[in-house]
Amino acid sequence: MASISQLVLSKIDSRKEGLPLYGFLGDSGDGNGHWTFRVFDSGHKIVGNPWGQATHSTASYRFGITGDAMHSYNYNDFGTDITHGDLTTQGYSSWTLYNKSIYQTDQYPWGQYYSLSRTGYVTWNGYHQYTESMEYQIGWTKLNHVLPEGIRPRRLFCNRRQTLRELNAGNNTSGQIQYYQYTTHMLDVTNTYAVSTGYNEKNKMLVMLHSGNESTSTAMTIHVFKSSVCLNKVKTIKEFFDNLTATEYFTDTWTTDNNKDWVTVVGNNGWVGFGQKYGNSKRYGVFNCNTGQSLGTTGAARQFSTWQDFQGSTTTSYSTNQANLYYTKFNHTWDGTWGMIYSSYYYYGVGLNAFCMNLENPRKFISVSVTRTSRGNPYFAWGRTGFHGGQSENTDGQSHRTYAWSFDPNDSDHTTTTKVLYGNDNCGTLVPASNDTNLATASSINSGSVIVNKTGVFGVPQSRTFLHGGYHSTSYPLMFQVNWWGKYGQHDFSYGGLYGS
Amino acid sequence: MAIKYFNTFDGSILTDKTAAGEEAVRSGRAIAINCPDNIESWRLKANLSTSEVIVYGGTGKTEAQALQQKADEGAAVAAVNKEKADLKMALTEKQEEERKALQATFNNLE
Amino acid sequence: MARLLNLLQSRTDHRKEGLPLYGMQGDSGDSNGQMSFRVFDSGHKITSTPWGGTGHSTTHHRFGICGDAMHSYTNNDFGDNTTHSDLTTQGSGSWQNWLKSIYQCDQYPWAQYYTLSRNGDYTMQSYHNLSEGMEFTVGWTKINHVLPEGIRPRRLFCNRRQTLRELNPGNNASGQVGYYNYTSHMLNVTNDYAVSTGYNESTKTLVMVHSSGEGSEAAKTIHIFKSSKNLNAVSTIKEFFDNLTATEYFTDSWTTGNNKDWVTVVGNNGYVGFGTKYGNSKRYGVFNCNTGSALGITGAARQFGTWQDFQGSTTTSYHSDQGNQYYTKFNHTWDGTWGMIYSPYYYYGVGLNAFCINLQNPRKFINVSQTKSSRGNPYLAWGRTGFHGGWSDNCDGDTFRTYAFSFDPNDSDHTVTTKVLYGTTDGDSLVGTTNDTNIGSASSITQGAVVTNGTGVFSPPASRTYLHGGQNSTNYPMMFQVNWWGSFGAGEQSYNGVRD
Repeated sequence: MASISQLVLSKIDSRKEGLPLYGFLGDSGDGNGHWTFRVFDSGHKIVGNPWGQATHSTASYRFGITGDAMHSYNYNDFGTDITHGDLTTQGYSSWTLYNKSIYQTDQYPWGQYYSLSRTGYVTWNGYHQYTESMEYQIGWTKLNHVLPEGIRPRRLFCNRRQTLRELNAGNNTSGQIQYYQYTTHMLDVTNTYAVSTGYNEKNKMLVMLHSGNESTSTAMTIHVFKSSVCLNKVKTIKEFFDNLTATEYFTDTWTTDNNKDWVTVVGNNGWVGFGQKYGNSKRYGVFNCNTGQSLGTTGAARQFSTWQDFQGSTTTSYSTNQANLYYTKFNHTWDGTWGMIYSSYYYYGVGLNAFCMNLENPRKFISVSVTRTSRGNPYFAWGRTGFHGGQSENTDGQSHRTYAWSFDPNDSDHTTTTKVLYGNDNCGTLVPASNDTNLATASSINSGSVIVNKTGVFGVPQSRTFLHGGYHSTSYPLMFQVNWWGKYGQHDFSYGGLYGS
Repeated sequence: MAIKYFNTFDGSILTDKTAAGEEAVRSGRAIAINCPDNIESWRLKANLSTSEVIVYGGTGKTEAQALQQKADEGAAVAAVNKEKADLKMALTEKQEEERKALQATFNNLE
Repeated sequence: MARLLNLLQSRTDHRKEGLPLYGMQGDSGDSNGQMSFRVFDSGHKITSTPWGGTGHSTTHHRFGICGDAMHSYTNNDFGDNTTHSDLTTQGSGSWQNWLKSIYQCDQYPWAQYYTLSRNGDYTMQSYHNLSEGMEFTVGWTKINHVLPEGIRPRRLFCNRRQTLRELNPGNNASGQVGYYNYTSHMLNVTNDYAVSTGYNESTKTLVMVHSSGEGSEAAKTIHIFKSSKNLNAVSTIKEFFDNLTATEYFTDSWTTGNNKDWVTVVGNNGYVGFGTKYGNSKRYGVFNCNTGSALGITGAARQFGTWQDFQGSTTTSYHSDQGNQYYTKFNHTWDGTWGMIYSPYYYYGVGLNAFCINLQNPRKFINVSQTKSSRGNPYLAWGRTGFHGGWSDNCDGDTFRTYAFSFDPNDSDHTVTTKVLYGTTDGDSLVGTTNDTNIGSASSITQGAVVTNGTGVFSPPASRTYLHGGQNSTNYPMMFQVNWWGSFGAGEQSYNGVRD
């Protein structure tokens, strides 16, 4: 009986998707020649393509898949070329170019500037009044979710001041669905500005960070709310708070650049990682947020070790100090075992400065670095336990490459090193005639590295996807976040699951 | 001058932090090079054959000047690429004319 | 309760697909006229097409489904004609011609040069740098899987030296996602170069062949690993080996052309077939790899009969000696009852030289031969218990034909002959007015043959599909492997189950 109900229950999460997909646009750069859009799976195999065709002489001004009003040949509001810029000197309002910025995407299933369905239907948001949109203004108030395998956030909760609001999920201001002011549940109201919120669905644990203001105040209050109901399941937010089983808090003083950059990562073991962009660098600290252990109300009593500065190279780059839309991002792997707090290396969204942390135990973490300064792309969840993206070089004469890396989903011991696997340019060396050892401390893993916990930094190499860019001549492909990767195990266009039964 | 660390897979800069950099050197992931001060890190790259640092724009340039050079080069590359693409298209148009003529000949034979 | 559980469990394997599909492209040969692409099911009924139309005058330089950068009209890197060449003189680097080579496809749901989704969206890989791709360099290290009904490999494991690695499935170098050095589990490490690996999912048996090198070395060690865990279901490869229930090995010396050509087919009954391209021919041998029966550690003690040379006609043809991408292929039927170790008859990937093997009992096998030397196509799983493909003659004035053949899924007795069923060009003779007998040794089966085990050779005739090639004039259709045949019983665009 137990195994039947398990079997049935394990199959009913309607949010569970197949392995990650990504969109891929390659074109001649002028919207008046070649334009190809494809959707690929994590093995870089095609899933979908919104096939379309048009003549491209001046007799035909409507060109491009969906004839997008923002970007088409001639009849467009914001330019014909969305892929050929190199993003070395262009800010977010270089709309065409900023599609490739790392700031476009995070764990939520849309991009700041567009949305894309699994079949390859892409549409850009209207750029008019964009600076008043959700992502531009208050994207930083979105919850950082730690979700079960195969699940991405399907509801949009924003926490600001002392009110948690739910919106329809997407980059719009169509009105909140509901709201709840939770002040009465707070044990300490010295600091009343919510600046960061994390939620762990497995533990039903909501962790909020409140500060003295939404900029540089260093005064922090951290609240831990545990409930018997899951926030992602409730009809009203109030139900989550009506059913609290434990509430604790602690206060601390945290060196802060801008409070809107804080990211809160609630681990399965009750430890919580807090990270943010700090100047050109980053900081990350881990605190024991378990309840019922009399840990006290000071940060010092709960902190694991010390604050850690990002250990990779840094250069001038943005944060919410320059504008809210540059808020520090969070994403996690498909299987929910590793997370990434990240922003770009280089000003406009190229390269990667990140902390990657284990979500079972956020005390286990490393720095991850890609010091690219042009021709970037966003980063996405990839495969079962990885991320990829970041590269947009000319594919005329060479295959498309990506910065792809994976972790071991069971690697959660912070007292040992972390294994990271990655690709390269030649499969003969990826699967070589030599053995890898299995020892965590050894470095003889082919296309793999062993990184010291906390202070180690991993530089990601590129690897070949063996995809063409979509256009036979000069082409700089653009990668897209896909709204829905297809229902786990029940795809129509491609296989999206992982294991046997 | 200060020691900085560069990735052995492509010479891009990895870090300027000693502990992290030395760990990477020990594992064979990085090499250490003594670099000039006051140069933004994005301008630095290692020549892996000579183990010397290459400074984009040269040490005499300010960052603003280096950024301008980047923008100018980008524009120049774009111009070259457009020329290449146009040339390819012109060539293939010529081939297309020849092909059409040949096809017409075959069609007449069938 | 048990039946309910069974029902639930039998419906929970989300890897299970409907019956096989295939893609078909037909065009005028210059991508500047007509081109059509369709996806068909095993009954040659249409499933989907990425419909598109366009003008094709010179003012229009972008043509072709997806406007593929590798192959389109004019704006392409590698030519506009992917179907009209005959593959009589072109090697693997003749990219556009090689799309029709038999080397393109095996049991894995992609091809060497492209991927194709169920709804007809296909894309070529980039040929730039492709000679460093997975299939070109280490495709031969992929495991040969024997899987349950309706399932194709959905994970990519590669075994080389003494390390089993997992990659994201597809022809890319984006990095392994897991690896495991299993040396400590080997009982004999004299030979330490893994050259061929087979896995049977229903018995959770992994069989590895190690040799002393990746060339023509004859020395062999064969390891048998049985686990309580299914390799295709583990989180980490290590779990399979941590849960071994039995390990045995034996050594032998096998005449070998190139070790990278070995194919390992693990039967449900514990017998394992090992086959390889050998010169222009093939060799196949079967060994008892059951554990716990004190069979010993020599090949001689375990071998069934003797090595069998391929009994069909042979001519000059390629294998791993000429390039790793020519490794001998393996595929099996949708229902997982018959397998095929195969390579082409003719150099560049035309025709078929194969051993077809019963997967319940690999001692039951026959030779299958098709001696076409031009205008070929890959072979793909077809219907419930068959294979088809191989034909690409001009469809102007004739229907599209295919070499299609099927087996009896219950035909696993190696002491009797093998029944093979095939098609023809005329419905009246396929379903004739005479009766077929049911006696296995008789030959009076309509469009069927009865073939002697081991030494018998069967040659499939071409049968009519009654499809047009996709273009009204001269056209030579090309067949494609499809990534995903649709979820079994839940197909959206066509029915693809067998029974409920």
